[in-house]
Amino acid sequence: MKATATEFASSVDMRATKTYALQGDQPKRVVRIRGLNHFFGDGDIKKQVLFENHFDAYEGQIVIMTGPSGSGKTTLLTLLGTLRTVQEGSIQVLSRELRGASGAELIAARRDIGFIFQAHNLFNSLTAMQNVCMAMELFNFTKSEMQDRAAELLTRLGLGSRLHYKPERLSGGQKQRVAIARGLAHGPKIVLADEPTAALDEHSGREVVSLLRELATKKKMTIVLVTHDNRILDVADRIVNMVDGRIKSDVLVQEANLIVEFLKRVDAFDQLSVGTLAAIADKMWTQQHNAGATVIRQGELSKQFFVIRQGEVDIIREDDGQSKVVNTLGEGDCFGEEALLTGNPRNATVRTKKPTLLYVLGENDFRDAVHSSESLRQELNKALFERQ
Amino acid sequence: MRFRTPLAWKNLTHDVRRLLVAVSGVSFAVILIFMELGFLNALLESTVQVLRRLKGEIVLVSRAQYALIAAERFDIRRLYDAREVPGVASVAPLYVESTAALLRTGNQRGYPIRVIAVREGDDVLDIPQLAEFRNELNGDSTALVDITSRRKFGFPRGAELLENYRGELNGRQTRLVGQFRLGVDFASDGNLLMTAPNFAKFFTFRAGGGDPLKLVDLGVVRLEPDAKVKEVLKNLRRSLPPDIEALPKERLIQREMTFWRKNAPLGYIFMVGATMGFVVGIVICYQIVYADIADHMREFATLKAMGYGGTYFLGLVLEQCLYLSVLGFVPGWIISWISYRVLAEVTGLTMSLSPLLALAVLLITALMCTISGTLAVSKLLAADPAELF
Repeated sequence: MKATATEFASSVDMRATKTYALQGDQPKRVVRIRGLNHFFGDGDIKKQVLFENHFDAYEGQIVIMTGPSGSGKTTLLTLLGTLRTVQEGSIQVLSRELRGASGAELIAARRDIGFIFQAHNLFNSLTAMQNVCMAMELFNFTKSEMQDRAAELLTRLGLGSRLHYKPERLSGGQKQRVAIARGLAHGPKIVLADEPTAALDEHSGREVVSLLRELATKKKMTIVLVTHDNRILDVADRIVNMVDGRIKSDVLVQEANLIVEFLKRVDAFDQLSVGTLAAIADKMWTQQHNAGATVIRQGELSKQFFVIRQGEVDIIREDDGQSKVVNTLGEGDCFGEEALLTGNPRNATVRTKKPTLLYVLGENDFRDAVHSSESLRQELNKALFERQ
Repeated sequence: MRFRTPLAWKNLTHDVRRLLVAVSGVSFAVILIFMELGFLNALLESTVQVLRRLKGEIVLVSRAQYALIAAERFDIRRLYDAREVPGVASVAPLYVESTAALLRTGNQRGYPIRVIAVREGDDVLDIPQLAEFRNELNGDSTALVDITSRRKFGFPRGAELLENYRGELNGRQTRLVGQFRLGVDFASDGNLLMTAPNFAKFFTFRAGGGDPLKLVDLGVVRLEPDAKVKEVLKNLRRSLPPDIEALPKERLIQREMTFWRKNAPLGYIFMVGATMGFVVGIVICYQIVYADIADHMREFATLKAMGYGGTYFLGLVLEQCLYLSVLGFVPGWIISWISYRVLAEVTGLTMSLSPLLALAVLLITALMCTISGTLAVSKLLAADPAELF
């Protein structure tokens, strides 16, 4: 049975950027980055700092970007925030292309974005309240609306008694919180923050995190945070790790937890630690299939291992020209590991029954994972021996 | 209307010490310009002090007289002709000698001095001492001395010491009987005032051997109360020979000032000085405004990142510059005013700070600040916000 053109098109491999749900279930995409390169300097001292980055962010998502200093996180953030000119590749913010955008387009894009900088950058001549109001004066708020909003945010961040203090009378952490309030005051669709909690103590750090969580959930704000602060990692829906100018891993936290759970259920993997499983999950990518698509075909060489994230598949064995459904697998089930371990061709065909989202692990990554644990291998051999 | 935080004002006034430094910088530039323009004005004004004091609406001069120092004279009979013209109430001559008048005090070498003479009974100069010392001036070889005359002449400082003065004008003993105040200028370092008969004694050579009083420098025309200047001028021009020019007094004053502004190197130098003051002012303002913007660059970059546009920043800086120029102008103006008084006292120059001059300097100051503000803000407008942090 040959794969028809429609079938082919209906199966989408998402190696470049992960998709975490079937189309239709997907939230609105607000940021789309493709093939982003960036250089500092000119001529002889020209140095590439970002390499072929792809990145998407969705409405209501909190993304934490981590990585060693100099890995390009902040550069990526400033490019995304229109604070730098895009040199190569494409960035779309709320469907607006930033590369080659005019001054007016940039200003329009900036007004949809809220910034929280590592340095607070407050005007010393203005009170906390006035500094926050500066963010709202570009929009159609009345004076009292602005003041109410500013007061509400500042109070929420524990500065209710210092609304009319100038920055020189505020501590570093308090100034930082004013800057956070300023970044959020005008109700931006996207908030970009560079180390927002660096100057904060545990308590106010938590307060900021819970406010961000609330805004992401209730107001559908998309929040991208660059941080080294381990204390706030738990707020993230997604953790992006950058090394040497490249996005090295991009983990949807809840999704990763789920996949680890799924992998744990696999008999073959039950000896592996959670950390190893998470590393395996991180190396997986997603594939989308419509109903009736053939994922693997009996007799093919084995290249991949699959976990079903959503949907159902039939396992079909073909003997003497007769097809027989021997099993039906659903969410959380895995297939494809046996042929990879034995090195034999596929012993069955797998066809989707419903629209299906699969997590895929490449042959080499699978082998590495297997070799990493001797006990795992023994366990598997035993299991296979018993099955025969 | 949408509410705007008055950021320009708040930033400017936040740090009082810094504001004081900025304001004094601008004030300095303002004083510089005031001084240069003041000197220029004073020098130009000083050249027309005699003309301003003339008591008449119209002045008759020789056609060849391009400026007062040209000493082109005309026959006194022209004045008699002019008196017949309808609308003319009286015509009086004014005699002036400057290059040919040498005054020696004691044993010192002599210096040229300007000597002005009027006929007795002619009310032609607005100098009250002429009437006050009428009797003394009728005495032989007597004169009034301008107290603003340069010290090199060695005139006594106090009126009570005048009796002791011993000096010779053109080799003839002179008695000083009183003081008056007129002012010195480019061409003359001092003034003596006397009556025509005494004048004739000192300058016998004036008319080439004829009656020294036959040649006059200026003819001062006073009009009948109901006569119109324009009509009388027309009549005068028609009846007088072409070598005589009749001009309204104000017109003559302007002509004299224009001559000095264009021809005297000093006038040119002070104009250059005023321009330099302007340039120095721009540099000072630029330093102040630029330093202020540079110190707030991160905050401005943050505003830019929020979506504030170029117009906002330009407006912000210009507003700040406007405040700065007004705040700097006021003390600069006051200090200049005091300096003018002091300098007028010391130099004898007519230093006057007219509202028009003040307004001009205020505009210049605002212009300086605007130019420097625009220069200073250009980086903020051009750069990506990320490069400004």
